[in-house]
Amino acid sequence: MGRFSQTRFLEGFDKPIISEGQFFLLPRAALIWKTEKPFKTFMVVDNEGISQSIAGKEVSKLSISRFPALAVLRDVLEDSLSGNWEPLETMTGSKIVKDANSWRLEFAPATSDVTLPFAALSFEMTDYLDKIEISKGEKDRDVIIFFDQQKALIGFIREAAKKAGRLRFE
Amino acid sequence: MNRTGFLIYLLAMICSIVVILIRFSNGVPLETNILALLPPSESEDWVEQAQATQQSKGSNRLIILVGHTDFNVAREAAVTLRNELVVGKIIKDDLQVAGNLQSSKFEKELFRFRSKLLTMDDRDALKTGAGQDLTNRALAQILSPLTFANSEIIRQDPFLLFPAYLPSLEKNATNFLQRNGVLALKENDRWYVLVDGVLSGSAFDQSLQTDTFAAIHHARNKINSSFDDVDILKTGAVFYGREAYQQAEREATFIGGVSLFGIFLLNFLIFRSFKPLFLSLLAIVSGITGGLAVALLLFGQLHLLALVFGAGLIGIAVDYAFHYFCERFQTDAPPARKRLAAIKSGLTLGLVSSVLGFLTLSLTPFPGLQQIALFSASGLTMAYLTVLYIFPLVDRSQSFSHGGQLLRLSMTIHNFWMEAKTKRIKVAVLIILFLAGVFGAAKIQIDDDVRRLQTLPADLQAEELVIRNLAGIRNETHQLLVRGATSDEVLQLEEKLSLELDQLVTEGTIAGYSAVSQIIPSTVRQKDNQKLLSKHVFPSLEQHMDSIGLSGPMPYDLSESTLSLDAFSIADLPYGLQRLRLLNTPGAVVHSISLSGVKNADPLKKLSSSAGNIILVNQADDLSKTFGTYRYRALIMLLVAYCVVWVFLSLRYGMLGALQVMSPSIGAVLLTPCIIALFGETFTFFNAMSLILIFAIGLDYAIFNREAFGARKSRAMLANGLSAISTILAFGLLALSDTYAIHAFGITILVGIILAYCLAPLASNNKKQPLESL
Repeated sequence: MGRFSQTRFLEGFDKPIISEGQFFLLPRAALIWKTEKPFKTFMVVDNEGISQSIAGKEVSKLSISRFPALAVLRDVLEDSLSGNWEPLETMTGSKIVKDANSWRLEFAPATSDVTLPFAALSFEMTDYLDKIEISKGEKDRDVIIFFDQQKALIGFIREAAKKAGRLRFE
Repeated sequence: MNRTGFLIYLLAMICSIVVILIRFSNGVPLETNILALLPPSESEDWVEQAQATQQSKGSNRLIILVGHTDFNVAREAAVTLRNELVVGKIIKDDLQVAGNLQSSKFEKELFRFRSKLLTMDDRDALKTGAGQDLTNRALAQILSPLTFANSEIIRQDPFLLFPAYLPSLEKNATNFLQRNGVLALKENDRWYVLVDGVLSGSAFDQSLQTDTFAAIHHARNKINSSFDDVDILKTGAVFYGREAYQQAEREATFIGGVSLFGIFLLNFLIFRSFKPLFLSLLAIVSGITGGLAVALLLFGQLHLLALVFGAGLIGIAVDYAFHYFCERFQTDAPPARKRLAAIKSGLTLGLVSSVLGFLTLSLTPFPGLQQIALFSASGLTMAYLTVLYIFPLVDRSQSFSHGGQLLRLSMTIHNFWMEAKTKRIKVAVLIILFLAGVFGAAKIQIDDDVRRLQTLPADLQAEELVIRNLAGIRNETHQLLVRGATSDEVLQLEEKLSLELDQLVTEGTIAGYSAVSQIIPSTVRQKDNQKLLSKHVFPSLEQHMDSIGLSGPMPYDLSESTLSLDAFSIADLPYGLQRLRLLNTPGAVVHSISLSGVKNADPLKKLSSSAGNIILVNQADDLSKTFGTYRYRALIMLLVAYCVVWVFLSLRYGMLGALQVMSPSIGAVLLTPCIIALFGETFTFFNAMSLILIFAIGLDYAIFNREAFGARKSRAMLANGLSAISTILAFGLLALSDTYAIHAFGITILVGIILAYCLAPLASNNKKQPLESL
């Protein structure tokens, strides 16, 4: 679990969209993404798909079976947040390289049989994943900074997530 | 006269052969679809037209899934298969992929009118003034790191109305996903790639059926030479049609073989000469040629079942030959012409009775019955001409001297009925027949269910079920057909019906439904959607755009223009909508609302009857009802045919005499359904049709019996016996068929012919003097 700050750069927009909040990772179960600013939203990513809710009310739902690309992104996030680099190296076909005080992994997928919601990924990590940059086209990109990460017992994370909002997978 | 008769025969045969050759030059004109036996529906024209379109859309579709654990292998194999089908001109090369809702033109048009499209949930939310919910939803999606919305979409649709509308398209989608240029799905670690297409011709065209199998076989060999463990699942009417055709061919070959062998053996054993065999075959071939030619001339093509039934009736032709040759079982047999004169009355009366009966049946507005009746009437006439004008020309043979024992044996049943000493046994037999009739009648079970009448091959059905389950294609048994003068009128009607259908879904009466208006709303609904958005959402557009850092002109089109269904050709629409949009002609537009999981059709019937332009259709039930109606009508027409024949025979035998002559046939027709019911057989439309054969053959046996006096009686009974054995051998064996209709035909013939033969002596009147020859 930890906190994030996301800056979304969109082509032709006057300014980037900035959001921040908390995340909770329950390995092999779910990733909970709780945005606190600019307003509160709650997103659960699990094996079924993505569910977004606002004030306890589900506002959108995407099924992984219909959008398999989501599974790729979900795995990327889950693996990188949990420091599980091996599958990422396998997927990207490249190795983590040392870069000054941190490590870096770049990934620009070739033509894929799945329409991916990104063009390139870049990871920076020390003990934990510190930064991920998701390029989504020529000028669209998300830069997500992670901080205050900590490992905790699964029960503790579950409890924290519960407090943060609804848990769909219970 | 004989020369004229010969010339008439020759001319008729030449004309028949020419007609058959012309018809066969364009492929085998045999229809295998059981529904083609039925008359045009009695529904209104628009319902009939819509159903015909739907049937053609469904039957002309080919669906194949190519499976492998590796997606790329499955894809490559599917591409190979598809190429084979296109190169072989099996399917048209204009792939409209099932469930491909992202088809560019369609989606682009929908996106253009995004400010007019709202899901029902969003409409309900906006009606309660919850416009902020839609804004928040858009913001949540824009902020999500896992969003598909890029800057281009957000700029044009800041409230993300279109992505929110997309899931409503899924209602008409299958489980397939677009993947690397093909539609595919994954099930238990196995990928299945769809090969989908519209046949270039009719699924019931035998040459196309053969070509389809050849193309698939060729592709399969190619695929297997490159990859292991690729499976190919296929479904479509073309496969069912081919299987039905092959089964009929197999059975016809087997049964036809046994029949010919039986006739050959009978002839040889009884007549100990090849000439009767040759002439019997000539009579049969002439009959089938004449019958086939007339049927093809009048109907263009012949139903396979009509051919089987008709050929059964032509079996009477062999009776004529038997009667002719049995006349040689006498010492110092007269020459051929005299022998012919002796049986001419029986032949003529038998022919006229049968032809009159068939012509009566042909008056029914029922293609199946008309084909059988005209095939038989013309076939019998040709056989009659053969016996009358060809046999005496070819046959110069002398008497048979070996028939004494046969003639005595053939009189066994006749003597049983006529001799006074068997009175008690006769009474016992009559009581047994009566009791069998009464108990059997009580056990008769009518069965008109088309699902049982048309036996479908289990392996193909299993394959279809696997495909349905994998693809998520629901088995929709019911549908509402909705008609209007314009597309928009139909869409409005659908939207009105949706309110009630939604209620039925909530109550669990139906599981769901699919309608065109769920994707393309009516003009009124689109304008209302835009009004709701203008009132509750668009006022906050500026603020919303500002919050996400977007500036620029109003991204939504607020003009009066609306998305029009008519702007799309049928090929532009995704398959889910293509199958629902049935008719689009000036002044008449018909859509289907397909209903799944119908637990109770009564509320739907109420919807259906509320207005003349909404009709509930359940094709299987409707067809079963039609089969029931025509089973009943066939029986009524049989009664009318008996009345016509009664009038005709009364001219020769008097009214009571005619009744007596008809009694064996009537007895056989009445008792047969009762006796087969005792063996657990149901009574179907096809049993009713088979009774027509019993009617005609029963009359023949009785007439020959009645017309024969003195020593001729034994020869007539011998000929009847030979005829009964050959008919049973040929057509009683059909009881073994796996096709329910043919089985029903066979079992009815088996019992009916035995009864007709055994009861035939009851037509005799030995006390009176022979009537003058005709």
